[in-house]
Parts: sequence; structure tokens; C-alpha cells
Amino acid sequence: MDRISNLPDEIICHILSFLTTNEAALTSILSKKWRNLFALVPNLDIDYDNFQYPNQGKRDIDGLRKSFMDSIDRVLALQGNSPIKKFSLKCTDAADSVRVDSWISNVLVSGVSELQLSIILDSDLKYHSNYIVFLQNVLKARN
Amino acid sequence: MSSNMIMLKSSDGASFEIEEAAARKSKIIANMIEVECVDEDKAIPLQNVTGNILALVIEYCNKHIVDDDDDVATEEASEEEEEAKKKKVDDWEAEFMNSMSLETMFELLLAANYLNIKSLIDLVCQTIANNIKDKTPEEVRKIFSIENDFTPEEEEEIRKENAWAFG
Repeated sequence: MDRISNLPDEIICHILSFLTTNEAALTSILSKKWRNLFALVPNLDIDYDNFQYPNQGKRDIDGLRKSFMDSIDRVLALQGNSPIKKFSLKCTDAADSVRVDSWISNVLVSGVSELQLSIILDSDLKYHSNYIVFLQNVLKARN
Repeated sequence: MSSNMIMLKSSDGASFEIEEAAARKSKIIANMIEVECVDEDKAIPLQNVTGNILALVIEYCNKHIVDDDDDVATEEASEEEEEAKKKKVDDWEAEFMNSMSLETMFELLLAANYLNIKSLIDLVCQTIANNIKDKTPEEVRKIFSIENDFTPEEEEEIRKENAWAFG
């Protein structure tokens, strides 16, 4: 086997952690060894602007939002029980607050210690400031 | 700062003298020093690291110990000075990584991992990641000589599964 594929899985994942989740996912097609490695990377860096949509143009904006949210569900599902250190999410009006909540709960359970959220939700779905303070306290306790 | 010197011995029998402060960049060696299993007259044997790679590791550690000293000396350095210093380190690291083949890079990474030198692990991983970034999977396979063991059907299936990344 080639040198890079022969590295221990955790080192390959460390290499992939320097890429965005999109870039890391592209390695799934390199060979069988790489197929699911990107899912074990402890850093998730997701940006709505980087997401690719097959057959773009044929879909309406709701279709794009749904596809984006489903993809994040899928990435988190692939992670399974593996620990997550950092979760960075950037999206403008691309996700429902209920879904964002479920992702945050998911990564909190997975042990996240660094959370970067840059989200603009529908104007009537604002995060309660108490919730933000709660998140900050959880992260402070972990760092 | 202590200027104690210690000896390291590579798997192929080469001996290197290194300042203790530089050697402490390696958590493994730092631990050995803490629990006093380092005999002043004896070299620490590093069975997983060859001489040519150990020389690179030592070059890196020496360079970064000097930088750490600077931190203490110029505590009240201005922002520009800080930036200039950071740029100097970045330039040195870029030059250091540029000077080696991919093959050497992998050996250096395994050595850094074995010796537990976090900043060096990060530097090499970042450099390897830069070789993957903005490349097509075909280009990445070529750079690292990765053999594609998928059938075209399997490949198509993965592209579909991860359509959000492949488009």
C-alpha cells in the first residue's frame, strides 16, 4: 500500500482535520481504505457556501435548504460515536432552528469543546440569550 | 534556562547532542527527564527514528527553542515585532517543509508522532493537507500514488452518497 494510506487512521484523520468537511469528504473516493475515514475527523467545518448541489437550477430555494440540512444530518450520522472536538457551522438563512438545535445537541454529546456558529435564522426564530450563555458555560467547563 | 545537554541515539546508531530545553519539545523525552530515567552519561535510544530523520527533528526543536527564548526576552514587544517574528518562523517552517520529499515528510510525521511533538505533527499534517486541498481526487491519487481499487460502479455510488461534496 502507498505511504499515506499506510499511516495510522488517527494520523490520516488529523491530516484531514486541516481541511473543510467538504474537502475531506472528497477523499472518500480515493480508495476503499479512505471511503469512511473523513467521517472520523474530529473537526467539522461546514459552510453553506461550499455545498454542492447536483442538478442545480432545477431546484427551488427550499429544495436547496433541505438538501443542505439533510447533508449535515448525514455527516453527523456517519460520525456515529466518534468524538467531535470542533464544530464550525456557517449558514445564512439556510437551516431551521430546530435542526440547528439538534446538531448542537448532537455535537455537545460527542464532547465538542470548540463551537463556531455563524448562523442567520428566520427573524422570528431567534436564539434565547440564556441558551447562548448556557452553551458558553458548557464550553468553558470543557476547555 | 538550563543549558544541560543530553544525548539521543537513532535506530541506526547515530548519536546527537541536544539542549535539554530543545529535547523537551518531545513529550516522551520530557517525561523521561521528569522521572529521571535519563542518565547523564548515556544516550537515550530512539528505536523508531533513523539518523537522517532525527537530524530533522532536532533542527526543528532547536529552531523553536530559540523562538521560545525570544518570547521571554521581548515580553513587551510591539505588535509589529510580534508579527515580524511570527512571519520569520512561518517562513522558516515553509522553507523547512519545502526542502523535503513527500517520503521524508511521512517519516518525519511518524517520528513526530512517536516522540509526541504536537507542533511538528501539526506542521507536517498541515503541509500534507495542503497537497490535498483544491485538487481533484485523480490528482490526489497521483501525488500520493494511491491505487484506485473501486469499480466505476462503486465510485459512482460514493459520488452519489456524498453528492453534497462532489456536486
